[in-house]
Amino acid sequence: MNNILKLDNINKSFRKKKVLKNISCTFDGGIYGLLGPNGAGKTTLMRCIVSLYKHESGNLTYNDKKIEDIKGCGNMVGYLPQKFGLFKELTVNEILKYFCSIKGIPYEAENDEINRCLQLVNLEEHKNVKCKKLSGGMIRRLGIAQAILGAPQIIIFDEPTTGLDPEERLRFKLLLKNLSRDTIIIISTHIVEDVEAVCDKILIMNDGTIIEALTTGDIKKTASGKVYEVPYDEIKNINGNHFIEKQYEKNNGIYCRVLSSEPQTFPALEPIVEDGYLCRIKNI
Amino acid sequence: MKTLKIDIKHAFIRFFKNENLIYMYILSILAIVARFLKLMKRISGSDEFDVYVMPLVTCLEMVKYLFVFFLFLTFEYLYMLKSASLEETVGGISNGIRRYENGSLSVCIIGAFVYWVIIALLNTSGGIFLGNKDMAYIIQSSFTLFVFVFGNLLLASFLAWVTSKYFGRIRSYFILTGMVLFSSFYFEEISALLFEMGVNIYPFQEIFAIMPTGLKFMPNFHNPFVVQPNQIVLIVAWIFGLYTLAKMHRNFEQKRSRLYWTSGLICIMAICIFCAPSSNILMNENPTGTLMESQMYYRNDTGSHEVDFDKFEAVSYKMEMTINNQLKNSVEIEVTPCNLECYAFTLYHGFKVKQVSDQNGKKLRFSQMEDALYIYNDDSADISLLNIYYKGGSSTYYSNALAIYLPGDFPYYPQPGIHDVYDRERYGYKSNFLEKDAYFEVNISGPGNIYSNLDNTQKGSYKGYCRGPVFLKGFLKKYDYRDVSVTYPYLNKEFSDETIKKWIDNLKDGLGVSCPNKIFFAPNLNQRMMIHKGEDYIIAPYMFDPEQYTDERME
Repeated sequence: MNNILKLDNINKSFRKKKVLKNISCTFDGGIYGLLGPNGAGKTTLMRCIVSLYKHESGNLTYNDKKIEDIKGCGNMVGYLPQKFGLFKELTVNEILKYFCSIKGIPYEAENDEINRCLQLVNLEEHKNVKCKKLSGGMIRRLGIAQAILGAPQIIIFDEPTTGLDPEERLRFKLLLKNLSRDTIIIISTHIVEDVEAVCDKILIMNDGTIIEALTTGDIKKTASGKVYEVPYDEIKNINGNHFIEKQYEKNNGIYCRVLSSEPQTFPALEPIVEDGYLCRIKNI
Repeated sequence: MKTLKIDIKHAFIRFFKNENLIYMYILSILAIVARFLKLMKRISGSDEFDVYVMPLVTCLEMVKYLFVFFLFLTFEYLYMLKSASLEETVGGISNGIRRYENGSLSVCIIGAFVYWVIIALLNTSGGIFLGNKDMAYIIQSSFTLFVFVFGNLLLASFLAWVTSKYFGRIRSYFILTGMVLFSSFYFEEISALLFEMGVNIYPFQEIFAIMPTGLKFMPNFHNPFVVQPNQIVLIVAWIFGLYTLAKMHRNFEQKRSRLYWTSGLICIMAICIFCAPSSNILMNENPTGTLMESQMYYRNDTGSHEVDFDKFEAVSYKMEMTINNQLKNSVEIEVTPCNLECYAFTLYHGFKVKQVSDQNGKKLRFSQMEDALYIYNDDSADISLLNIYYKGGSSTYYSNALAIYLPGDFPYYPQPGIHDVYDRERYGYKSNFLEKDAYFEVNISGPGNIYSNLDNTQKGSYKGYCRGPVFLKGFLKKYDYRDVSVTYPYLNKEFSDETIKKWIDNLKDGLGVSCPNKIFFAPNLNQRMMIHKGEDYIIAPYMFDPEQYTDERME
């Protein structure tokens, strides 16, 4: 049976501030990228899915059963929060054993499961190393390992690549590819490149709502004909509503990558996911 | 249960792997043992009168240091999840935080229990080493230590738990330090200082009176440093209150369990019991309690209730007493004559009358004004028996589950006629006996041996004629010699069968005086030097000079 996680009109407020507004979407097996600027409500939405926060109204169902009615629902979700630390005095093995115990993994299966996860994150050689001796990237990988312990049906990563070097980021992307295709993986990030290569679908959030849920290809298409390469000196000649995405050096000149809703005389560029994302966020 | 075991195992791993915590804990135990051994070396072979209770005094002194130490130690331990930035990760797992807290708190509880076991063992072995093998004392001193060591350390860890949930490290340290100061003896002294300046903060101070009191006083061998019922209730209220407060804070909106509501209810009940009147030995410097309480009360008392009423006589008393944190008495008094309009009694104002009825169960109107009780015979009926139900206590003449000190000349039972209870000039209670002997039949429910001038027919039952029944309970022992029954506090090294023998020989042979055949040597800490002399008994706090017996000062 396929895994289906369904969010139906989810609302959440903190005092008078409404953080999630009628969020509705359906996740089935695959990798989802949750993109949005800071304060868009990504972390709150993830915390609602993990049951850290109780949503005020709406339904959150997994395979047509309300999440809160499923006994041990927390254990079918693997979660790596933005802020992840460790008991520094414990070894990698000890801390993972602790997570195994609270996740309800049988004692006799603990060692195999730990070895499997450590292998996936390339930390098997550090199994007996104290956590205080691990680098920032290793701690993050260990965080990923604890999230995938017990092969949960839903895995949620909040800013998973923060603190990882390029090689480790690549490894993380490979790891995602190696996880079961039936698993629902949701990655929240504002680094578009991280989701571009691995995500089947991208959800763009802004101001507490999901404003778009498209495949990477479709997102790119939304920016089609809206991306231009403009020499820095000619920025002032751009017509209408536009957004300067970045500036860079090319052929001894300085150029800008500009998004514009109106046709320009400058050379058009092939859009990437980031262009599509920014077009939606900036209403271009 | 299985999951709890696993959680405790992991909590122990976290504790033992943290070198700072484990070394501090072991060092604190070594420090306790070293301090105790030093004391034993100093007092072994000593003839000092308080030598038997010195191990207990030392153990109780350790409580305040342990409390401070444990407060911060458990805070650091329970704060680990936050300081390790693991709160959200663990919270994201079903019951993750609850299981983390269960495991960690279990370790704290086990840690507090280990302290108690070590200290109770030190106290017991120290007592046995010094020659005190009394089982009742061992049990009660171990219980006292259980309340103060285990109870207070449990309270400390729960307070640490609450602060670790609600606040960051700096704010928590402020709160924990505040708790240390408020529960310390210094705060008691500040309260005394402010009281002299006209500011009474004692009601506030009493909320924090969780530490053993009276350590600065001379040991009361009748009842040395036992924990008072009110203090047990206070510690229970704190523990359950803190538990409720901890559960009130919902980490990531966890559901509130049934335990939350139950603990809240227990806390409220404990607070109600704490606020209700009780009879304790108050060994602190609170001027509103014990010695000063009477002075302050009678300073304001008008004393204007001395009105001439028809005289009557109480022929017999049948009393059913229950003594817990206060005294409850259902007394049946046979009175003569039977047709008075009003029966006026003297009953200490601390005892509040709830109901009065006649021999037929018919309720009678009554009023209580200070130490006077008036019962009205509105129908001018023949009244042969008066049933009076009252409860309460006196702080000077205490009566609680652990200790009783009720002399016969104190109106803790209704005495016919109206008379002054307190001597305003001499700042002490007057001796008020019945005018004639009355027959008493008393049943007292509660554990432990009670000593009386009445005949003890069976456990808890006392009968006989007297002008005022005496009831004493505590660490006392009875010794009969030459028709004199002497009850004495065996924890005072000055008292023994031999010294009592010599004392009686000296009294009877040396001085040739006849004395009452019941002598009680029992110190009352709340009114230390008072001697009570009745026709058939004497209660004295010390072994007085037999020559003094005929002295006026004994009157």
